[in-house]
Formats: sequence, C-alpha cells, structure tokens
Amino acid sequence: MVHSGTKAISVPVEEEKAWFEQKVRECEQHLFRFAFHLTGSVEKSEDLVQEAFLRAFQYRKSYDHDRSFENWIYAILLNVYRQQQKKEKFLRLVLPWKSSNTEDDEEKPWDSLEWEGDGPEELVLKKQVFRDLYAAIEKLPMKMKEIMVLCDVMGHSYEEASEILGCPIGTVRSRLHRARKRVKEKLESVYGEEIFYFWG
Amino acid sequence: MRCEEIRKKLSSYVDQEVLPEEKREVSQHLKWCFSCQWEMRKLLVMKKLLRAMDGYWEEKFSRRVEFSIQKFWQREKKQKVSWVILFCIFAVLSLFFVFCWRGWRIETKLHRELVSVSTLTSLEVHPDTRSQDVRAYQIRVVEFTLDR
Repeated sequence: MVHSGTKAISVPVEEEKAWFEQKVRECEQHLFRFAFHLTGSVEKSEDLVQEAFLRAFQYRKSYDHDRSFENWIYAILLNVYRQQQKKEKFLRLVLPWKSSNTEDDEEKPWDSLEWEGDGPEELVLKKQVFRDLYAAIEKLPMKMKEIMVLCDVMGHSYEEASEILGCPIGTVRSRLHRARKRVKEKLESVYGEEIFYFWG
Repeated sequence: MRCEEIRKKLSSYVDQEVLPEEKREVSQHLKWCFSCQWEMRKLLVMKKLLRAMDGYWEEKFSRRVEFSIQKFWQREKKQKVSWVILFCIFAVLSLFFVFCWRGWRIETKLHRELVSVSTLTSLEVHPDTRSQDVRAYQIRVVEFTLDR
C-alpha cells in the first residue's frame, strides 16, 4: 500500500485489498488464538476474528502506518470483544434462563486435551490443571483477564500490551501483578504448593 | 528492602521489565531470601504453564485455522448490500410518512374551511363527507352563493 508517514495516499481498492489480504495472512493465527483464549470457544473466536477484520477493513484509513498492524488489529478485536461482553451481560440480565442454559451445555475445548507420550495419570493432572487455570483466568475482572492473556499466555511485552490496551506501562505492570496473584492463589487453594514442585 | 516490597516487583522482574537498579536490588535480595525465591519459582512455573497452554493450541490450530479471505470479502459485500437495503427501506418509509402527513394536513385544512363557511352561511354542508373533491365542490358552491 502506498503511503507517506501517517497519511495514506489514495490507492485503488484492489491494491488496498491485496495489502489487507497480506496483512491478514501474517497475523490470522495469532489473532485467532488470542480470541480463543479470551472466549474459550472455537466458534466464538472465529466470529470475533471475522468481525475484527471486517472493522479493520472498514476503518483502514485510520490505520497509522508507523505502528504495528498486528497491535492495531489486536486493539480492534479487544473492542469488539468488550462490546460483545456488554451485550451478553445485558442479555443475561434480561433473559437469565436462556443464557445460563447455553453456557452449561457448551463443551469446553480443554475437555479434549491430548498430549503424545504422557502417561494416563500425568495426562489427567495436566488436563485438570489447564482446566483450573482457564477457570481462574475466566473469573478475573475483564481488564486483568485481557492483560494476563496478552502478556502471560500470548507472550507480549509490557510495551506492546500498553499499546494494544491504550494504557500506560505502569498500569500494565500493576494489573498483571494483581492478576497473577489471584490466579496463583486460586491454584494454591485447589492443589496446594505441591503443584509448583511438580511442574517446576 | 523488605520482602513485601520485593514481591511487588517480582512479577515485573520475572518478565525482565524492571529498571537496572531495581533489578540489582531484587537480585541482591533473592540471593539470601529463600521465601522470595520460592515466590519467584511459583511465578515462573505459572508463566511456563500459561505459555505451554498457548503452545498447545498453536500446534492444534495451525492446520485448522485457514482464514477464508473469500468468505471475508463476501461478508464485506453482504454488509454493504444490507446497508443499501436498509437505506432504501428507510427512504421508502420516510416518503410514505411525508405523503400521509401532507394528506392529513390538506384534509384538516379543508375541514376547517368547510366548518367556517357553513357557520357563516347557515347552509347545510357536510363536513363528514369522505371525498375531498365533493367537499371542495361544496366550498366552491357556498363561496359562489356568498358572492352573489
């Protein structure tokens, strides 16, 4: 895509589409996994990624070419996710019977975890720990959950997380510290301190 | 430095996101404090577990996720079309309401004129007549009578 600094020169739509396709190919896997860690469902994450790409294409003119495309699209996806969460929360409030039923029936992907070369006992323990980890992250307040998924699960740096979330690095640091503390306490309450010996 | 203060910085320390002087302080403290060492170990284990989770799904989804760009363009086109349809529906509805409102205005105006004319002339006119043409004709007859 032809551009000069932050100001994009008008280019044909076909060229814009080609540029966009290339960018999508570069980050689709990461974005999908990020959506999956946030939602805990393959179908929901596919929808979320589609919606994020759609919005990114609609607002492509506002993209600053000096910044990373991946971080920009991560921020869009987070916004879409927040909006969906608000909608779900509202629906849960208005139709409590409907939403609670669907959530209970839904099979979680970590129920079918498999590792090659693990014995049955180790596999059961791994599954259990992963399930509890997801449950602990799921129960975190939204802002802490976002930061934990970004930094701990996806392995982003504090600087990248602060760019995606649009908050200072100090805030990232303190939120992550609190989030880790809560998850650690949750794991300790379920397994005791032995779990850290086992995995260490 | 006390353990409490160190533990607040441990989280950033394991991510190597602390200032050099802070890093030195924490490293110094960790050399002799076993309790803080154990806390750091817990954080490292948790981090390792969480990264392993992502690694697992990365392998699992690498073949599955083939984001269909064609599907995306179709969806983008569909969304554009749906906006056009919505706009058309809105335009048709607006026109319909404007015409209804105009009709209602003419009707009311005619009705008022008819009532005032019939009061002036004490002639028998029928304000309830449904047809606008008949009522306009009645008004013209009354006006003609008054002129004479």
